[in-house]
Amino acid sequence: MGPDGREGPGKSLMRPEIAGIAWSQRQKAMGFVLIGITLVIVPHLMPNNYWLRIYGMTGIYVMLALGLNVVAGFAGLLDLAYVAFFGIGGYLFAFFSSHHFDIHLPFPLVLPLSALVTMGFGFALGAVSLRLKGDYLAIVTLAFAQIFKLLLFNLDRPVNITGGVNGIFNFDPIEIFGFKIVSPIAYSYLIWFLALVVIIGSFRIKRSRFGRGWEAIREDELAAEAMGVNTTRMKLWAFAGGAFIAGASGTLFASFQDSVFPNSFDFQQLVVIYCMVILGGMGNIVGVTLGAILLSILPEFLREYGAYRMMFYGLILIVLMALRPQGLLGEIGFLTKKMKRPDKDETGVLKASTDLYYDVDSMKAPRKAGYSIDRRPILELNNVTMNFGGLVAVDHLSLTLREREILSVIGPNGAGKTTAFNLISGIYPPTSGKVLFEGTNITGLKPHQVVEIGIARTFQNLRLFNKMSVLDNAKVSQFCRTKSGPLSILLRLPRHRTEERETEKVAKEMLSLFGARLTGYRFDQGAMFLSYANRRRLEIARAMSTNAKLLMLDEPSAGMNPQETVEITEFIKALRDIYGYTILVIEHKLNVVKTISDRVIALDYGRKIAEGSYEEVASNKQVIEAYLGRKKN
Amino acid sequence: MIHGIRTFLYPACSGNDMDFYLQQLPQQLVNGLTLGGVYALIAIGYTMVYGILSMLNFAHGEIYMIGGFVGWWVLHLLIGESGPVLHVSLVISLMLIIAMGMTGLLGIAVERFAYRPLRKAPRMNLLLSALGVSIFLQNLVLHHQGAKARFFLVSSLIPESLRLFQVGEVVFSFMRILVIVVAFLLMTGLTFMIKRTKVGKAMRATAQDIEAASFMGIDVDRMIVFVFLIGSALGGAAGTLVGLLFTQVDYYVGFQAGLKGFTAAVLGGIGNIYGAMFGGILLGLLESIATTFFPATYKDVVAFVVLILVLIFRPWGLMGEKVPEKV
Amino acid sequence: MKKFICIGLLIAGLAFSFPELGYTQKVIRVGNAGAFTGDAAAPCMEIFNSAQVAIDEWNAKGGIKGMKIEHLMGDDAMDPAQAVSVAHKFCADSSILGVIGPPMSHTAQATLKIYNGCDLVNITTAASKPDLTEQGFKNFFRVNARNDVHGWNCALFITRNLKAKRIAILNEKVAYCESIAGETIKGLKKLGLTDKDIMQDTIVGGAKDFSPVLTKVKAFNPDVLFFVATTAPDQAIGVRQARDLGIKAVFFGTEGARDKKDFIGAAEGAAEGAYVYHFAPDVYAIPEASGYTKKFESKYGSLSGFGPPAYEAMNILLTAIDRAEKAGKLNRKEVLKNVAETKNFKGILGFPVTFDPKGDLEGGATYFFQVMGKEFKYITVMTGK
Repeated sequence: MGPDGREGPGKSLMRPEIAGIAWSQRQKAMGFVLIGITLVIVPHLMPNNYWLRIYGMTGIYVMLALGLNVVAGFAGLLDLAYVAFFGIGGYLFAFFSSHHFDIHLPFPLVLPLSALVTMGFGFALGAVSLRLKGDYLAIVTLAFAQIFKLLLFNLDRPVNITGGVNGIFNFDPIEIFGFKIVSPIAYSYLIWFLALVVIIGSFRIKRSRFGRGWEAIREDELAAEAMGVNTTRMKLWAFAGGAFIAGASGTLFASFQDSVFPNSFDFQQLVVIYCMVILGGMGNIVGVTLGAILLSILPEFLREYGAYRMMFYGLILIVLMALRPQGLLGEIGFLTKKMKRPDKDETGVLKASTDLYYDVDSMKAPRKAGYSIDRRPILELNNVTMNFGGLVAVDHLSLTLREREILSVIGPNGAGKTTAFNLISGIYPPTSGKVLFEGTNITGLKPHQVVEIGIARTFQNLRLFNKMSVLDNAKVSQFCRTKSGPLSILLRLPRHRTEERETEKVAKEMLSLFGARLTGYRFDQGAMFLSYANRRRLEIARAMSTNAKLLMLDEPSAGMNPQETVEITEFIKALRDIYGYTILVIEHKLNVVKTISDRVIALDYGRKIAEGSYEEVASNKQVIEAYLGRKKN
Repeated sequence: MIHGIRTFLYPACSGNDMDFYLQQLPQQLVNGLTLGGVYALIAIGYTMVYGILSMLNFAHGEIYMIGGFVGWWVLHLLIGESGPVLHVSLVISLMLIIAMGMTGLLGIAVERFAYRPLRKAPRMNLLLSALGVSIFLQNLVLHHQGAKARFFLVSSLIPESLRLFQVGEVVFSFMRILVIVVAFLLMTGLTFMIKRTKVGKAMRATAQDIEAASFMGIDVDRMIVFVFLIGSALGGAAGTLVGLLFTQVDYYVGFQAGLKGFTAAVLGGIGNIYGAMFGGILLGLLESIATTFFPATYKDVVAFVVLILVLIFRPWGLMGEKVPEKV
Repeated sequence: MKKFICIGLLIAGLAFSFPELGYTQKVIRVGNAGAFTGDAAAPCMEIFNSAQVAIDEWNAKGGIKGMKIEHLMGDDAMDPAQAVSVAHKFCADSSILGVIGPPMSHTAQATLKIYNGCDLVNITTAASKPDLTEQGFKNFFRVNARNDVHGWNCALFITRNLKAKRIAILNEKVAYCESIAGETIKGLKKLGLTDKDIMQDTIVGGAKDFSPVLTKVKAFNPDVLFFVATTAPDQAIGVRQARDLGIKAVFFGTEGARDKKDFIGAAEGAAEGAYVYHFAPDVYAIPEASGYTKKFESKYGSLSGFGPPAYEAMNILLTAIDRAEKAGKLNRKEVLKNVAETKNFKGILGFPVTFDPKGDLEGGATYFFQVMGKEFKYITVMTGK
C-alpha cells in the first residue's frame, strides 16, 4: 500500500473477492472442488425417492430465491408478480415439449428459449411499472400476478391455451446431449448444476457495474440517476433478470413435476420465496441460498405442524422486519469485512482526524495546465423559468459560465438556487428557457444523460448510497463511462475486466485526493459509518468520479467546522487550479465565497438580482436587503 | 374464430338482444351500489392510514374479516331457539359496536407491535411487515375457526313481510337497504368528526405534515393510534355488515375484499376520504355492470385492470391532487 | 480454510440427518390423500374420519393377522403440486399398501402416474372426472360414478322430471364443476335442447355475493337453475340470493349441497323445494349402514354425503389386504390385484360394488333428493335410461 493509500492494480487482480473476503486462487479452487464433491455425493445419500425430490425442489427454490434476490434484493424493487414469471416458464415448457400443442422441442433449446421469453415478459412488466415507487409498485405487480392466475384458470375456453383448472401434464422426457434426465438423481444433478451456475452468476453480477447500479438505485434512486446510472434501463434489467431466472426455474420445475397447475403459482408460493430472500438477507447471495435451503427443508421436518406453516411465514416477516431486517446473514462479520472499527486502521492504532490532513502538494492525480479562465462559455442558461403550478421558483434566469471559472450562487433560502441546479442536472425540465452545455442544448435531458455529457453535482442534504462501501459509492459514478452488458459480465469477457480495472482506478484516484481519509481501510467501509465531514467529502469525490468537466457543488461546506471549511475551500480552489474543473457552487458562508469565486451571482425569489465580482455583489443594496431586510426609514 | 370470440364474450347470448342486457341494468345498479358501499367502508380504512403514515396497511383486509367473525359471534350469542333474545335493532347495533370495538383494538395492536418499530425504516420493510401481518392473521383465524364458513341466521331477525320489496322489476332486500343506510351513517359520522371536531382537525394536520403537527403540540403517536382505531373499526363494521348481507363469513374473505377495497381507495385518490367513498361506489358499479356483459369470472379482472390503469396513468386517483416530489 | 470445513460439515450434517424411513411389515399402513386444510377441509375430514371408523372396526377385531392398521393423512390442500409430494411420500413408505383418495379430480389427475409407478392402489371416493379412468392406469378405482354418468342422469332428470325447457347453469371454475356442467349440457343437447335454451356462466367459489350473475340469470328467465358448486355454504348463498332477487326457477344443486346444516340450515328456508343430486342413496335409509352412521355421528358429528363412500372404500381396501395376507403375499401388487377383482361387494352403499375393467363403479347411478322442511326427501334414481 502506498503512502496515499492506493493499491497497485496488480494486487487486486490476484485476490478476487467472494462474499467480501479475499480468497486466493488456491482457496477458490479448493472451494469449488469441495462443492463439486458435495453435489455429486449428496443425491446418493438420500434414503429414498421422496427425499431426493425434496433435494431437487430445494435446488429449484435456491434458483428462484436468487432470481428474486436480483430484483428485490439488489435493486430493491418490491416485485410481487415474480411468481408469475415462474409460472410462465413452467407453462412455456408445457407448450414447447408436450402433446398440448404438439410441439416437441429438445430441452437444450427449450430451457434458454423459455427463459428468454419470460425475460421479455419481465421487460414488459418493468416498462409498465417504471414510474411507480414502493407501495404502488408492489400493488400493481400484485394485481398483475392475480390477473395472470385468473388467465391461467380461464384461458381454456374457447381455445384451450392453458388447460384451465386441470393444468397441463404428461410432458416429453428431457435429454441433454444424449443423457436422458428421467430419474430423480439425474434431475438432482441437473437442477443443482444450474443452481450453482445461478449462484456464480449472481456473484459476478453483484460485483459489476450492473450490481452497483442496482444497489445504488435501491439506496437512492434519484442520486443514482444523478450519478449517471440509467435508472430506467437498469430497472428494466432488474425485472428482466429476475424474470429470466424465474423462467428457467419454472421450466425445470415443470419438467421435474411432469405437470403444471395454476395453483402452483399463486400468492402463497410468492410469500414463501420472499421469506427465503428476507430470511437470508436481501442482496446477500450466500444468505439467500441458505435461506432457500432452510425454508425448503424445514417444512418437511415440521409436517405435523403443516397447518401452522403459513402463520409461521407471516411471523417471520413481521419479526424479521422489526428486529433484523437485514436477515440472518446480512452484514454478519463472518462473511463481510465491513465491521471494522472506523477509527482504527489495520495496525490497530487509533487515529485522530488531525493526523489525516492532506495538502495540495500530496495530490497525485494527473494535473492539467495551469489556471486561467478561458473565454469559452461552458454552461449557458437562457431565460430559464421553472413554474411549479403557480409557484415560480426560477424566474427567467440567465447566466454564463466559462471554462475553469468558479461561479458562486448566493441568496436567501428558497431563492431557487437548488432548483436551478436541478434544472441544469435534468431532474425536471424547465417550464421555459434553454440550458446549453458547450454549445449543445441539454434542456430536458435526463439526469444520467447530463452526467454523460460532463456535468456532475452534489446534493445539499447528502444523498450517499449509505449501505454501500466508500469505494463502491465512487465506482457507481463510472457507470456511464462503461458499457459492459450482462453477457460480458457473466462470462467475464476481456472488455468487462478492462472496464472494472479502469473503474477501480478512477474511483481510487478521486478518493485519494482526500488523502488517507477515504482511502486504505476506508475503501470497504459502509458510507453510513463515516463522520459527517467525510460524508461531505465522499459526496464530492463521487461526483468527480463521473469524469465530469463541470461540477455543481450544493453547499459543500455545510456543517463543517472552521478547520474543515478552510480545507475544503483550498480543495475547491485546487480543483480549478490544478485539475481544470469548472465549478458552480451554492454557498452560504460568505468567507468561502469570497475566497474561491471568480464571479458571484445573487438570486432572490428566483430572479438574478446581482452579478459580478464578490465585492460588487456583496455591497449591492438589493442583495443586502434580500438577506437582512430593508432599513426602517 | 369470430364465433369463438363471441361465444367467449357472451356465453349466454348467441342470439340475445340488447333487451337482455338493458333489462338487468336497474337491478345491477342496486347490486353495485350495495357492493360499492361495502367497498367504500373498507377503502376508508386504507386511505386514512395512508394519509397519515404513507403506508399501505395490507392487513386491513384481514381486520375486515375478523370484524365479520366477531359480528357473527355476537349474533350467535343473541339468537336463541326461537329467535333473537333482544330487539332486532339492538341486536344489530350490538353486533356493530362490539365488532367495531374489537377490530379497532386489533388495529391498534397491529400498529403498536408491527408498524411502530418500523417508523423510520425503509418503505420495503414496512410493506413486508404488513404482508406478514396479513398472512399471520388470516392463518390464525383459519387455524382457530376452521375453514368452514360461519352462517348468519338473519331470517329470524327480520319478519317475512319486510324482507323483500319490489319496485318495478327491481328487488330490494331489507338487508341491502340496511347496509346502505348504515354505511352512509358511518361515513357521515366520520366526515362530521373530521370536519367539525378538534380531534378531526388534529388528524388532518397530522396527515398533511407529520413533523409540523408534532411541533404544534399535537401528540402524533396518539393521532396515529386514533387513525388506526377508526380505520380498523370501520373495516370491522364493513365485515359485520357484509356478513349480515351475504349471510356468511369465512377466513378467506379478507384477501379479496382487501384488494378490492384497496383498489377503490386508489381509484378515488389515496389519502382522500371522499375519494375512498367515491371510489368504492364506482368500483362496485363497474363490477356489477361488467358482469352483465362478460362471463362472471372476469369480474375480478375488472377490478385489477382498473387498478393497474389508474396507478399507471393517474396515480393520484380521480379525486386526488398531483403533488410533485420535493428534491 | 476453516470456513470451508465449517460449510462442508454443515452440508454433511444436513445430509445425514434425514430420518430413515424403515422397511418393516410389523404394521400395516394405509394412506389417505386429501385436502385436509383449506376450503374443502370439511368434506375431506369427513372422508378421513369415515375411513377411520372402518379402520377402528378392523383393529378392534384384531387387525390383520394380529397387525394393527395405521391411517396416515397426506394433506395436499387442493394443490396438485402438494398432492404430488404426498404421492411420492406414500410411495416411498413401503409399509403403505393402499391409498384412499385423492377425492378431487385435479389432484387425482396429478398423481395418477406416480401411484401407478409404485403399484399403490388408489381408491377414490369422490373424484368424478371421466378421463381419470380413460388413461390406462390400472391402479385407480372409484366407488362413485363418473361425471358423464351423472351429467347424463341430471340432464334426464331436468328434462323428464322437472320438465324444464330453459335452463341456466352456473358453475365454479374447478375441474369437478366444469366437468359436471359440461356433461349435463351435452346431455341436454342430446335430449333436444338448443343453445338458445341453455345459459352457462361462471361463479367464483367462496365469493359471498352472486347477485350480479344471478341478475343475469333472472333476465334469462329459466325454468331451472343448476348451481354447480363444490361446497354447501356456497350453494346456500346461491339459493338464498336467487330467491331474494325474485328468481322463480327451480333450484338444483350438486352433491356438496346434500348437507342438512350447511345447506338447508344455512339457507334458512330459502332452500325449500330445491333439488340436489347425489352419487349415493340416503345413507339413513339403508339398514346396513346404521352401524356406521351411529358410530360416526357419536364421534364426529353430522354426516353429509362424503362419508359413506369412504367407509366403503376403506373396507374394500382392507378386505383386499386381508385376502393378500391370507394368500401369503402381503405386497402392493397382490393388494392391487385383489381390489381389481372386487365383485358384488356388499357394503353400506345400498348397492353391491363391482369395479369394471377401467376401475369405474359398475352400474353407476345418480340419486335425486328434494328439500322438504329440514330434511332431504328421496325422489328418484336415474340410471341412464
